[in-house]
Amino acid sequence: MDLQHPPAACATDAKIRTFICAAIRLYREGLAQILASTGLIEVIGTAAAPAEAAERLRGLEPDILLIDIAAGDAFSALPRLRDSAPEAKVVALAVPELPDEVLSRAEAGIEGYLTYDASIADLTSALQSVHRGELICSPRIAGELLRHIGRLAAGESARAAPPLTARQREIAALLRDGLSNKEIAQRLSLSLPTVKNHVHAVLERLQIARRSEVRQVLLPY
Amino acid sequence: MNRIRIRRSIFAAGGTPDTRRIGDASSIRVLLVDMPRMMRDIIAGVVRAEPDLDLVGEIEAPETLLTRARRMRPDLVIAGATPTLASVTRELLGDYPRLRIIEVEVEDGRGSLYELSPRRRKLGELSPESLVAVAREQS
Repeated sequence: MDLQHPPAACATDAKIRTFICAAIRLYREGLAQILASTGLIEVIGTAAAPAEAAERLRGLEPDILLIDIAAGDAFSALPRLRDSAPEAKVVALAVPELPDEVLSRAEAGIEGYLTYDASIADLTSALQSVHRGELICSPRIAGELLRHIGRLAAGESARAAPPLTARQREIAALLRDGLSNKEIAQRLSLSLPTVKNHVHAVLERLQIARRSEVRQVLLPY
Repeated sequence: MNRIRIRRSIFAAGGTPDTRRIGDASSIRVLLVDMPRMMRDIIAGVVRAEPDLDLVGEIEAPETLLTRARRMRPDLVIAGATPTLASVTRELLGDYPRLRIIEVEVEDGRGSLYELSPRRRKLGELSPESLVAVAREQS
């Protein structure tokens, strides 16, 4: 056995079966030639347009779909292409974009995202990483994605536990149980005007118009 | 063969004297200028794969094209489409009238090749094959 190449490395020796969909011929044919020349990637097919790609992908079972989403309908056709190659991971090539645009593209489900400012070495490395199950994008995009996830998480927790004060939570819980203002005032030993103020604040914080809606937005504490 | 020698003598006459001994007189010296990195890598790969094309350099800023061209002495410049290129082209062709400048443009999912002479003339679709064919055309 060649000790320079332990058995563990053998499992990764298989070339990454890649299908390229790119409208521009230089990218389509040039990438096919240059990626194949690395010896790491096998280009099993190319297509200029998503419809053509969906047709050619049948039975090919690529590891990776490398798609130019810079122009035309390639991005909107992603779900259809995924149907044609359900096991394939998707690496998108795009022109540099605003973070918001990238986020919308990320939400469509892609495993790798590179712009045309990346080098062929970057692309080859990204294809290998995505093939291993990693997600690949630039540090700037990664930062934006993490901030986006943070905002989503904050939104979720806001729905689960609205930022109410301790007193407002007591009032909200009693509203949820269907108590009237007078009953709440008696229960908490507060004056009726004070309870009315608290109820008004609770409805405002929960962004609801009627006290009966508290039940729908407030989870049990 | 004669064509290349004639071209070099004219090129040298326009600027720095070319006293260098040319190792392979049949090769066409190609300089890549100001284009997205991936496109540059692909075109560099296409040029390197052809024995009669010689990649003499890759530069990012078209502003430096004038000074770099004097040193690198290209026969052919392949450049990305920028406003700077248009202004530099006139001056460059003034110094080196036999130099060929090819502009690559990618827009709305289409890639095109243009020759700047200095008027912009469309040559065709941008592909590895068309680039090599254009590079071999006589000026």
